[in-house]
Amino acid sequence: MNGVSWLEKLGGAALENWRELRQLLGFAYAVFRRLFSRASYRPLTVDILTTQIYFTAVQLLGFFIVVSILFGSLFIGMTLFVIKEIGLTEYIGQFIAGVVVLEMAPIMTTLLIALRSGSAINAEMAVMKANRELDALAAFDIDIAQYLFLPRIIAVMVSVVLLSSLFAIIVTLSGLLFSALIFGMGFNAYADIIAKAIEYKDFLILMVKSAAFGFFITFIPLYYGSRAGYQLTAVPVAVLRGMVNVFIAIVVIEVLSLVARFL
Amino acid sequence: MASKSIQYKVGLFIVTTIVLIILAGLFIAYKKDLFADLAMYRLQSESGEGLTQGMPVLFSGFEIGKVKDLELSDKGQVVITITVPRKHVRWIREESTFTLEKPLVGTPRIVVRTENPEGKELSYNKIVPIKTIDDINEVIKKAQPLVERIQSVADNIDRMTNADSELNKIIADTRKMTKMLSEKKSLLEMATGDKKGQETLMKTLEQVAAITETVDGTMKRIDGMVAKADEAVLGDKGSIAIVNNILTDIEGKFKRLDTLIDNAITMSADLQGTTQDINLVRKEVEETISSVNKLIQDVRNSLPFEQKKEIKLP
Repeated sequence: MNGVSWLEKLGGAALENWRELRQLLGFAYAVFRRLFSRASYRPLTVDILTTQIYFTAVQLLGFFIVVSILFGSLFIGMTLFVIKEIGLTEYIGQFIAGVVVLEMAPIMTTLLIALRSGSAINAEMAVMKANRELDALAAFDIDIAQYLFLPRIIAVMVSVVLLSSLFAIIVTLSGLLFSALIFGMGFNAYADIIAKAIEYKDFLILMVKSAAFGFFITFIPLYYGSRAGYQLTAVPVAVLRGMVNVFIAIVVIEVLSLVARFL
Repeated sequence: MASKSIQYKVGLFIVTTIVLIILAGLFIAYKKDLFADLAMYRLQSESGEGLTQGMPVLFSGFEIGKVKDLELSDKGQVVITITVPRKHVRWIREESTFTLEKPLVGTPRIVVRTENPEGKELSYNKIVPIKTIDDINEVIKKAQPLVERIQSVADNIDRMTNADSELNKIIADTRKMTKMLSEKKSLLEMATGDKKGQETLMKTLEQVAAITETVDGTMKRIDGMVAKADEAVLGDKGSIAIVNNILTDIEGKFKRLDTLIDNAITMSADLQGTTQDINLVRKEVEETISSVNKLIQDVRNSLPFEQKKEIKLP
């Protein structure tokens, strides 16, 4: 009997998760379709979008640049030192292009924005749900996906793409400093190595990956925030569930991008 | 509605970042010679194996160009078109040699060697044959005997492990033996196939055990006797100690005897000297007596006294 009830619980949990995942992906698809609809870009939407970019990227910019310089320089300096120690100097370009531009820049940016803006958006939605603001919008037949979700998602996507590129540029430039200090390499030699290692498809991968990160680190908090209960105590639960799923989404996108790169 | 200030800051952020991205892209394009004036040359290979578009063309380990295009000629040979920026054209001369290197580690590349950079520039119309150095095939060639040896080992293993092999027979026998052991059959019973033999052996073993016990007792007694003999011979008051004392005593006496003998020898020497002296004295006495006798004879002869032959006693 115990065995059967254990199996029942497992099956029930699997079905519940599957239903939830289907709902989430279905809703994500619906929002994604609206991204390409001209009707979605009304003056009010653009206004919310502008404000969201301000909160997500511009307010964070100073801190972001400092983190990029400090963390990026430290990381690149240590790695170049190790590369020199193990005699793989000829792979500096591939390392900077492959690790810094394609992997580290989007991940660092995504984590910063997810921690700062993702959690804020999640809490904002959960509070709106608890205050029945979402119900009020629905009562007036206002499409919350278009009015609330879309501008925030676009804003975060734009922010992640731009900040990731900025991070890649800053860290690549700090690599110049360390390559001069560690290898005695001049600007031209460094630029040649980097230019040869970076392919145009790397830019494309960086943009697409950053956009995908931006989409999910906003959509998931929005989704879980809007599905919170009506009590204020449901707010932290919604934020917790949203942020855990954001983390899972980041890992899944990272794994998929790695698989796509090496296929 | 967002304030003008926010709009301005957001606009400035987006424009600045996009400009930075475009500048970075343009810089990389410039470094990749995307805007450079390119010269084209044609090479020819027997096979297109290992050749790919975009493959680097190296001079002294430095990338000076790329493979732009590959096509099959009417004669069935592969024509390779390479592009080289004008700034590197001085390394592509008519006497330059081109080698397709396929290293064991790393990507294949076309390596250019030019002895005289002042020579005549290679023309696009001239198709230069390309040599191939295939490290992988070289390694495969070298590894071939090893592979054959491994194959032979694998064949042997296969032979050893097939159903009729000796190894399998041994395993089958071992299995049979293990089965018999698990049925608690003794080795003797397995060897002779006779259960009585085992009983006889057990009885013999019991007798041997009894004999061993008796021998043990005897040995213990002998041990006791040996211990006593040890004490009698080697103990503090044993024979060896007494003999030692006697020997020590004899040694002392011998030493004293040595002294006595030495004294006797000295005395004998002295006595010999004395004897010689006595002989001399005797000789002298005899000579004296002889002289006295002679003297007496002379006196007798000279004196007319008759000597009374008989003396009358009172």
